Parts: sequence; C-alpha cells; structure tokens
Amino acid sequence: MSVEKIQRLVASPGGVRFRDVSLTVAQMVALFSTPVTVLPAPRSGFINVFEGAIITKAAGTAYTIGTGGNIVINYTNAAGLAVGALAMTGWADQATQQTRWIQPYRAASGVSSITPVAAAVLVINQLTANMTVGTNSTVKLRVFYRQMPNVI
Amino acid sequence: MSAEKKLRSISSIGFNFRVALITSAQLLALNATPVVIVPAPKTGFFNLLYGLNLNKPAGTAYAGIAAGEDLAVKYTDTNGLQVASLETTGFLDQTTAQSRWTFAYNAASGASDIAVVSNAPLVLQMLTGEITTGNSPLRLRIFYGVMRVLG
Repeated sequence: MSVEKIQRLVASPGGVRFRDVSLTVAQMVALFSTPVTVLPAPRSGFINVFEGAIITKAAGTAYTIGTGGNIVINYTNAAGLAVGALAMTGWADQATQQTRWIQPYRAASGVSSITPVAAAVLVINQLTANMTVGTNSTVKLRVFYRQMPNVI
Repeated sequence: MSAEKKLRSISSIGFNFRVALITSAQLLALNATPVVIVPAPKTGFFNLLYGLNLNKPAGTAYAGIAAGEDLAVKYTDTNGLQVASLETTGFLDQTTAQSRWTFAYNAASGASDIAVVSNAPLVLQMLTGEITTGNSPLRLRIFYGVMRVLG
C-alpha cells in the first residue's frame, strides 16, 4: 500500500509522523561544524514538512554556549531553509534536565508559505559556533513531520 | 465508530481534541478564576496546544471589555506560560453568533521553542480584568497533543 493511501486511511490531518533521534555529547559540541541529520530524505518527488520537535537535554555538566547561538532545524544542510530554532540560553547551559518544544516557523500575518525542498533531509545545526564542555548531557529529539508529494 | 471518536483515538501521533463549555457565569469571572480546558496528563507527560475553535451563540453582548481583556490559554493557572490568545472585541461584544479559530503561538523566525510544563493542565483565562453583562456560553474545541518528556 502506498504511503499516501495509508495517510488517507488514517484520516489524521495530513498524516503526522515522528522519528526519535539521539545526539551524543560529541555531536552536540560539533553541531556548528557538522550538522546532524534528524530526518532522512523522502523518496524523489516528495517533501518533508517539519511540524515540531520535543528536545530534551539530560541532566549533567552544562554546555558552555559562547558565541554558538541558537540551534536550528534546516532543510539539507547548514545553509538550507530554517524551519524552527531553539534558544540555547536557559537550556544547554543548565546542569538540570531541560525539555523544550520547538515550534515550526509560522507567519503571524502576510505570506505564510515556505518553499519546501524535495527529497531533502532535515538537519540540526548550531548557528554561529560550536559549544564546549557539557561532558555528559546527551540530547534526545522526537521530530514530528509530514511527507507529501512536491507536485500534486 | 463516529468520525469524532476515530479522531480521538488517533493518539499515537499525539493529536487529540476535547470539547469544553464555559458558562456565562464562568466567563464573567474568568480573570479571577481560570477554567481548566485540558486536564493535566500523567507524570512525565505534557500537553501541547495546537489551536482551538471557539463558538459564542447569539445572546446579550458582553460589555465592559477594556483594552487587553483578551482570552488566553495558559499552562497551570493565571501565572502559567501563555500559549495562545484571542481578541474579545468583535467577538464577545456581539449579539450574533460568532466563531473563531486561534492558533497556538508560533515564531516566524529566531528561536521558536517553548518551555513546556509537564503534568500541567491548560486553562482559559480572561487577561487583565473581568467583563460584564453578557449571557452567552462559550463552546470550545481544543486541539492538542499529549507527549512524553524524553528521558
């Protein structure tokens, strides 16, 4: 049965799915240099649409953010279209467990469209620099998304 | 199974809805006494608001709506994190039936995360102060997810 048929049968509003991803400390402190794929590319002619993500940092040594800036969810790679972002201050720099919900970007008014990228992965990366330290705070994400045809 | 029951049963993707009725008496006291519209989930889980549909039947218009007296959805209570709001002017101060859809807050750019509150209800509150007079109840259909805090 095709993916689209299953989505129609489920009758959920658009067929939201999710995928769990773990990020090691080594990946977290290299997230500017080396983005990590959180959602694989759909097959040719289909798009991923980001619908949000739960992100939890385990308790442990706090990360030193420095000039790292937010971490963002992008299409393709660090230069791809951003679809959501998480502020590091108050999250990565804490020793306690921290949970956030990353909302997908939405316009408050005016044009609210995005140009989705067909057959492209979604990656997570840090905006401006790598963080340091954080020797034992691993991170888990649950990424919610839809897949749909790029051309209807 | 009804279409509504089927929708309610699709919870594996964390998408649920429930209906709530706010009486006129509750609406007139909604600043001091917020009303729970989504109960707290069990420990280790949190509610995530997607949006809500509100209907006000025809009736006597509400009055005394000052600037800033909007309806708000918050975690926990009056002091909780606000996740959506609805303009009351043009809505509650009308004698005709009125419907609105309110999205949960989102960012268009920059950080788009919220610090969700686990094991907390969602409440509806009137911001700033109380309104007066009207006699229409509010019917709500709240769309939300119940998600696990990843450990």
